[in-house]
Amino acid sequence: MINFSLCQWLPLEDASLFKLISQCTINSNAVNKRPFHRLCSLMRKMGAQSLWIEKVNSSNNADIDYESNYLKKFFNSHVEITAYKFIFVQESNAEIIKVDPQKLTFLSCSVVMNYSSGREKNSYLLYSIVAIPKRYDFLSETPIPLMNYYFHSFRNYDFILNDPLLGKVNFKICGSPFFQQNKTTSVCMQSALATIFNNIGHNKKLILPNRINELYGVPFGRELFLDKKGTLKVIKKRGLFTKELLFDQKETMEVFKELFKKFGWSPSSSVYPWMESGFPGFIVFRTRSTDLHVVPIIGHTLNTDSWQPEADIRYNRRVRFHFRPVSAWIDNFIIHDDNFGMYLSYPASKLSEKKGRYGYFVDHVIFVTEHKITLPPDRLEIDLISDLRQVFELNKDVSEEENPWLHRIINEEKAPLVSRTMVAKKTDFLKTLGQRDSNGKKITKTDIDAVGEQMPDRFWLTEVTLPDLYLANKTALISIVTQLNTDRQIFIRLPRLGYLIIQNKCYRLDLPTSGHYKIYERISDIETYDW
Amino acid sequence: MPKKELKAALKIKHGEISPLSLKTLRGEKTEEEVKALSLLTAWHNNAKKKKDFAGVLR
Repeated sequence: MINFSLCQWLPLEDASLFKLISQCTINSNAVNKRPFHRLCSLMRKMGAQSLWIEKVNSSNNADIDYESNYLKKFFNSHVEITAYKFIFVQESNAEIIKVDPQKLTFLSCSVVMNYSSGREKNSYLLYSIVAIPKRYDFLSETPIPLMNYYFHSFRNYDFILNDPLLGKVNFKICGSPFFQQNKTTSVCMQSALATIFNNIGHNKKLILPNRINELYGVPFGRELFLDKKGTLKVIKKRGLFTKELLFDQKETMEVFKELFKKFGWSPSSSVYPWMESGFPGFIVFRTRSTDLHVVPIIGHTLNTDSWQPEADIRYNRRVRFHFRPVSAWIDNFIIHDDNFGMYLSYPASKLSEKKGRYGYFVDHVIFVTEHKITLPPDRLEIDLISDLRQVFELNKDVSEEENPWLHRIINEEKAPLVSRTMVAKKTDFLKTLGQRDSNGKKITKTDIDAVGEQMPDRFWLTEVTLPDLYLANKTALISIVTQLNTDRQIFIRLPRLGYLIIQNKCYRLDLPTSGHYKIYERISDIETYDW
Repeated sequence: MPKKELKAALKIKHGEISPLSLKTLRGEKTEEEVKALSLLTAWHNNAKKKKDFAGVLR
C-alpha cells in the first residue's frame, strides 16, 4: 500500500504529502481526508523538514489494540486493520544525525487508522497531537509563537518512536489532542469530550473517543449520538462540573441586543471569562435544520488593532461608567473540528448571528470545570460597575499630584474602563501582586501576606484598566477579588490604596504602588507573542 | 495568621483606621444595571432548563 520508507527519516523537501495521504488511507470518496490534509498543511507551515512513519498494530501499540478490539466488538466480526504512526520533526536529515534523538523538535505525532469489516471500511486520524503552532523566523533562525494566539487548553503528552537501531525514543509534545470521528462508533461529541478529558486530566494513556462510549455505558453494536443529557452525564461521571450558556433562543438574542446597546456586552463577553480561566469547553452549532456539530475550544486570538471597540466607544456615548469587556478585541476562538482538523480559527462573531440564518447558528456553549462555580462572571462584572462608581466617589477628591493614575481613571471622560474577569489561583495572583508596578514600587510582604490570608485558593479576579494600558502595556490599574460562588468581594486594589474585606468590615490599606500592574497570567509552559 | 493578629498587624501598619462598613463600598445601581442583571440571571437559568440540544450531534 505504502511506497514511502518505513522507520527512517524521510526528507520532506521533495516529498509529496498528497501522495502520502492517498497511500496511507483507503481510496474511497466516503473517506474524509480533510483532517489529514490539515495536519500536513500545518506541518508545512510549521517548517517540518523530516517525517518518520511506523506501521503500528495491536501487538506494538496499546491505542491500536484498544481501537481494534472496540471495532471488533462493535461489528461482532473480524476487522482488518492497517495503521501508521507519523512523527514530524523540524530538523532536516543532515541535522538529525547530529542531534540526540530525544532533543529533536517534535512537531506532531499522529496515528492514521484504516479498517475494513465486511462492507464497512474507513480511514481516520485516530489521534493527532500537534505542538502548539509556531512559525519559523528566518531572522532569528528559531521558531516563534504565532502573534496574538492564546492557547488555554493543552498539556504535555508522552510518545514513543520505535527506532530499529536506537530502540525506543521517548519524547513529549505540548499541545491539544485532536480526534477524528469515525462516524461508526464515534461522532463529534465523543471527539470533543476526548480532547477535553485529556487536557483536563493527568492520565498517562490517551483517552480515545470510544472511551466516552464506555463511560456513558452504551452497549456494543449500537450507534451512539450523545444528546445533552448523555453529554452532561459523561462529564459528571468524570467528576467534573459544567457551565452551560444557551444561544439558540430568540430571547437570547433579545437579551444580548439590550446588553450590547447599554453595556457594549456581546455573547463572546459571556464566553470569554470561562475560556480565559483555562476551562476547556465546546461550541455546539447547527449545520442543518436537524443536525448539530460540536467543536472543542482550545484558545483565542486577539486583534489589538481592532476598529470595532474604538468605534463602539466613540459612537455609543453611554459608555462612561460601563465596562468594556476585553472580549471586544477577540476575533476568533481557536478550535479543533473533527471534520476538518486542528487549531482552526472560528470567528467569535458567529455567537452573535441571528436565529434562523444558517450561519452555523450556535446552540450551546458548555464549559467543563473541576470545581462547582455558581456565580456567572458576566453578572459579576455588571454588578461591579456600581461598586466601582462608589469607590471612585469615595476618592473623588484625590489630586493628580497625589495619585495620578487614580485621578486619571476617575476623571477619564473619553475612554471606557476595560474589564477582564477570570478565575485566578491565589498563588499566581499573589505572585502578580508581589511584582513591581510601572513606577518600580512593590507592595510590602506584610500587606501581601495579609491579603493572602483572606483569600481562598481560587476566586474571580476582575481587572479594570484603560484601553490603551490594556492593549499596549498589558497592564491593569484595578484588581477586584470576588469569591467564586457569592458576589462577596475580598480585596480591591487601586493605585496607592487597597480595600481588604474581613468579616464584613472593610480595611483601607495605603499602598506604595501608584502605577499600573502587569495583568494576571496563569503560569504556562508556552510562550505567547503579543503585538 | 489568626484574624485578631491580622487586624492588629493591619492597625500597626496602617494606623488606627476604623474599618469601613461594607455598605460604604456598595454603590446604588441604575435602572439599566438592575435590568441587565435581571436579564442575565434569567438567561443563565434558561440554560439549565433547556433539556436537550436542538438536533442530533453528528
